[in-house]
Amino acid sequence: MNRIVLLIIIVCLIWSCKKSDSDAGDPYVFQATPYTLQTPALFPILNLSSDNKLTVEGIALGRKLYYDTLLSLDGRSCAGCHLQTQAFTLSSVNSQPHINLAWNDKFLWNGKVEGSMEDIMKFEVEDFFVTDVNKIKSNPDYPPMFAKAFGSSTISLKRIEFALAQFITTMVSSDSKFDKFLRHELVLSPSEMNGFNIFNSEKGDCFHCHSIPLFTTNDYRNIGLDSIYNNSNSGRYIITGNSFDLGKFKVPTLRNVELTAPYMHDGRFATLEEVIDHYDHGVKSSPTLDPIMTKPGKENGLQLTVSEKADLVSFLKCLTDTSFINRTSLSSP
Amino acid sequence: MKIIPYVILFFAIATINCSCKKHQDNEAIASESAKKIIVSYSFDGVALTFDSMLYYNLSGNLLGVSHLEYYVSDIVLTRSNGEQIIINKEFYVDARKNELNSIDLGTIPDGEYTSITFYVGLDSSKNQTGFLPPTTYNINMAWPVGMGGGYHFMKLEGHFVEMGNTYGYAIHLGNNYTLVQCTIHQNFNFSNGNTILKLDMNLSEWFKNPYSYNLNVDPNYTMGDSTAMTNISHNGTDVFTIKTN
Repeated sequence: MNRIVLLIIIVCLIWSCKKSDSDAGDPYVFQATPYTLQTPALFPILNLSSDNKLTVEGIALGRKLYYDTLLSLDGRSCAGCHLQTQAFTLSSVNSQPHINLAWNDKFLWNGKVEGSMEDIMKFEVEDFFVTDVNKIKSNPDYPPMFAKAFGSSTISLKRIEFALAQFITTMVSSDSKFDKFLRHELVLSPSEMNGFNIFNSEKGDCFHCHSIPLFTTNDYRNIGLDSIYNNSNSGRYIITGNSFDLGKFKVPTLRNVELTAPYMHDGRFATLEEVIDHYDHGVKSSPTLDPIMTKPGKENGLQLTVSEKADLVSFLKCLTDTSFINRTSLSSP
Repeated sequence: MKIIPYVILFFAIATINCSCKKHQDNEAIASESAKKIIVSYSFDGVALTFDSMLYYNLSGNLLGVSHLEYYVSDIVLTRSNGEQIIINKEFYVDARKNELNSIDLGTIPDGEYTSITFYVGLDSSKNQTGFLPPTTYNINMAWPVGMGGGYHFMKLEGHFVEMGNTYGYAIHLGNNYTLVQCTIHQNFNFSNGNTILKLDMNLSEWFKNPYSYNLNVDPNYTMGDSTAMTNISHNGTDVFTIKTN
């Protein structure tokens, strides 16, 4: 029996090795230039979409789209509300900053969109801008760029979203003064160091929601801005309908916070000092106030001294990354 | 496509393999397969519903739970023949996410087991800043260096009612002295195709046995309070049971 089986094996091997006409040459396979995103030290491992791998051409296309008013029906562009000099936010509209979004899975103040970069770009392109692909097609620069990025000159909403997702993924801020401190490249001033200690300890307790190194835990918290809720300040509740979500908003990153005024979902605070005053003595109690905010003895806030508040502001300013706001690869092409 | 010869080749090799096995001496080999632990949550016998003010602890506090995250590590399963299966790994668990309530034990022997032990938290060799891979979950569990470094072993958060008013509680464990060792001496069986060990965490136990934790009296925020964290960690040794149904 085994001899017969061995004979079959030999025949099969010979048969499989014989070339057939159909093996003559491989069909051409399009491939854009792969782009490797360097994960900064201490940053979480990044899981990017396998359907939308980063390429040089995809990122270049996304960058052009980001700055193009053809994306909208009314002359707006992504960059119109996300200025690089303001760390990709805009003070007049209090837009959320485009900083390290690749590490987020919750987007917008109330988390209306959860998922990947591609998911939020789908919302921005199809729901927010209501992009008309014919407008994009009207620019002769685009067909060849789409061909280089995706293998054909076909312009679709999905490809627009994918290209934008690629570009925004590259908006990485990881070279602030504080990052340099973590890398032992410099020392912080005594005021900055004291501010860091307040931030990263029981005293300020900022780290629970603004954990290092992303400076956001990327979840929803009620920090006591209000005690009575309506449509304008219900936050996450608008999406879930869960009363326990009343007043909860997406925790924003504090990276480049010096540049992203005003603060909070409604821009009620114009300065970092006002923000700290809120945490210090302005917290309003409600049944959904975050448990982190109710430490014994600090039910009404942190009760910091004037000097401690100033130190905390000094530390927050250490999160400004000038290389990020000046990086030409993120600027208008 | 030249798949046919490879298909025939596959079956041919399988035939030889099977026929060869018939000629091997019979040898008792413990079968193995992939196993996992799945955790469920309850409060004194009632399945836990998050964000619901439904539960009374032993001290009479009416409370609800909004967050529960913790680490399980250094799992040891003891077989009925005395052999110990050691899982020298660390697992992050988020009680609110199904995909993060499954602990992969890897491929281990089938059969009867008599006990399981594990830590809630990380032992001192692992509880060091930067020890765990920098995933989003792990960086959010970081315990500040200035407060001892390492990681939160557990974050249990929610709200409770006192005198008609609602307050928050944040029971966090960290630092090496709050490591919780859980030991369950109970037979369980990975046989007849069963590959899942069901554990249940009774959250009420965090508030009792041996210490009746009263949120009206004891700190509702434990981080930085060594007495509070010690009391909670002592209570934690029996929060888990094996679910038989």
